[in-house]
Amino acid sequence: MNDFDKYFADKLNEETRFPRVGKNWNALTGRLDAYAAGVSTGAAASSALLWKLAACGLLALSGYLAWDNHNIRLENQELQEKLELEVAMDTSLSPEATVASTEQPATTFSDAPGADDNTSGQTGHVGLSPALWRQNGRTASDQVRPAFAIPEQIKSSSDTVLAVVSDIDAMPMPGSAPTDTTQHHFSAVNPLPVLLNTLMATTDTLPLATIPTAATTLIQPHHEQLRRFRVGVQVIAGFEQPPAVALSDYHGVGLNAAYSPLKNFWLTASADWMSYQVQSKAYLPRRFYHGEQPKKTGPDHELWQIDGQTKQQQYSLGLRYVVPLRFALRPAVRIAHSWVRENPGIFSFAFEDKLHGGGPGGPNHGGPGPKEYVVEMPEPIWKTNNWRMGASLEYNLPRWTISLGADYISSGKVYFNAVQTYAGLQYKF
Amino acid sequence: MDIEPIIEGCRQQKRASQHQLYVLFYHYAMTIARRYTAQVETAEEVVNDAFFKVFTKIHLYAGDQPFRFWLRRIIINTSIDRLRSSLNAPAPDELQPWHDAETDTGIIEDLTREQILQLLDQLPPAYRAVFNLYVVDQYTHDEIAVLLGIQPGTSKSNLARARQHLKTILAQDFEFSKQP
Repeated sequence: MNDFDKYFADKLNEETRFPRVGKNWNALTGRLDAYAAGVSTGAAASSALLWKLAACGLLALSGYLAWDNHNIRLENQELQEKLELEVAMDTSLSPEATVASTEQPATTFSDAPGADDNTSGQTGHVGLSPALWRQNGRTASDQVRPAFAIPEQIKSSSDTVLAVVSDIDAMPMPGSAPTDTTQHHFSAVNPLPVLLNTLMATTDTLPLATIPTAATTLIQPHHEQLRRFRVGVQVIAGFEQPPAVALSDYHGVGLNAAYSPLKNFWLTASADWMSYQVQSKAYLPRRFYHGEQPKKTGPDHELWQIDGQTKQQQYSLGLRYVVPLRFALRPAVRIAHSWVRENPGIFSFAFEDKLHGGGPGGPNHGGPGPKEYVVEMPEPIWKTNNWRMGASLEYNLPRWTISLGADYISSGKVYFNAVQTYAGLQYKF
Repeated sequence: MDIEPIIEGCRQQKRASQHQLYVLFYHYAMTIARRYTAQVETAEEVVNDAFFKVFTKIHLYAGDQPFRFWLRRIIINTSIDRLRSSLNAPAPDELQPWHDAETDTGIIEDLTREQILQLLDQLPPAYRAVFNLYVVDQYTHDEIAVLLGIQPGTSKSNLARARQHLKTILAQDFEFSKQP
């Protein structure tokens, strides 16, 4: 190396003091925490972004459906008002005005044959059931039109019909000898055309039969009684996100309670008890084990496997909004804050003596070596700043609610992110 | 100082041990990274990237060489990775030679390390990388070629151009300083 290069090399190899050691260490710590949680910064960010987008989409859809529902209510209200107005107009029409519209004086029909009533005209019947024209509970004094007004035309034509029918009855049967009495009638009159013509002439001048209308009584929709309190149970299955090789899925059960201060809004509280298994061939990241991990039990020993189980309790407070849709299944969205208590059980660290393997040839002849086990049981710890948001579908019965949902839980200190699915049953009171 | 217990603690993912190791080798790492980058902030990012690799891949350190050498290699590789996008940038126009290629070495002896770094900062990234790797870190041209993805001949020519640039800049600064 020439002098030029040597001088540069010597100068540049001199170690110099640089500032901001603490600041840079803090930045590195965050990355190491993320790595310890089994999540790379990029994957966690993209995963959280997808969930945020999904939550925003769900909120937007809920807002649109709520707005649409509001418009439908307004429309219903307008139609109801219109209907009430029409009913009021119908009921304001008097019976006299209706009767005066007919050309012939009407005959009030009475359900008792031969019975008189107060109306003018003659009573009569043409063989029609009086019950068809009688209104329930109404009499002639009610402010309604008469049950049925038979114009005089019908009365007169009915006599003609009866006369024709009697002529038909008097007709001799085919093959029988005609009598003097009937022959005259039969030869003079073809009864069927006469009957039809009579009826047609009668109907042509009949006023339109008016169907009596009653003032419509609006049937109010049935409103379910608002029950503000709910208590229930749920079963949960959770999946680490992204999935961690050393960690199993976790399962558990829980209790929940809810109170509705406003319609469709619920304040929720829940307590869940869950557990999961840990199995690894390497030392565990801090996310899975926060205690002291034992050193090698000997100079030739290597870590072989770690087995353990951890129990976890989650206590959550949140807010849920049920989208006001009149469907069998109603969607809901919720956000909650959780306090997580992690309680590792017994963890077993197995070390294998690599050098003194116990193969078929005995010690020092290869094969798996003897194992030594170290058992640890760290203290429980609390993990705070965990937020969860999710959606669910609920099916409402008069006293019960069945729900299915999924939440995404994100930890502020990147302890873990997970998707939790649950199925719940709540009692309403 | 025996750092074996600290390294063992790092293998067990103990944060305290990682912090100790970081503080011990921070200035050493920054010294190396600063040679390859033009700014201190970039060097800090390179150092953090390198230590992240150290702590996450500590199980690959077999202990057959001093930890310092293993760390040095990681920092150099990380610096090259950071510079990789700019290594292929076209070099600026050749500086006009102010004087003969030979430069009075007395000028260099008077320079501080910071001034030499400022000289290096004026080199194009590709020239600076080759100069550091060959002159300071003692890589061969074949190793440099593999590391940078270039031909060994390119490495040699880049080194020659880097020396020429440095001498020219030094001569310009010396002449300028002599002016009244």
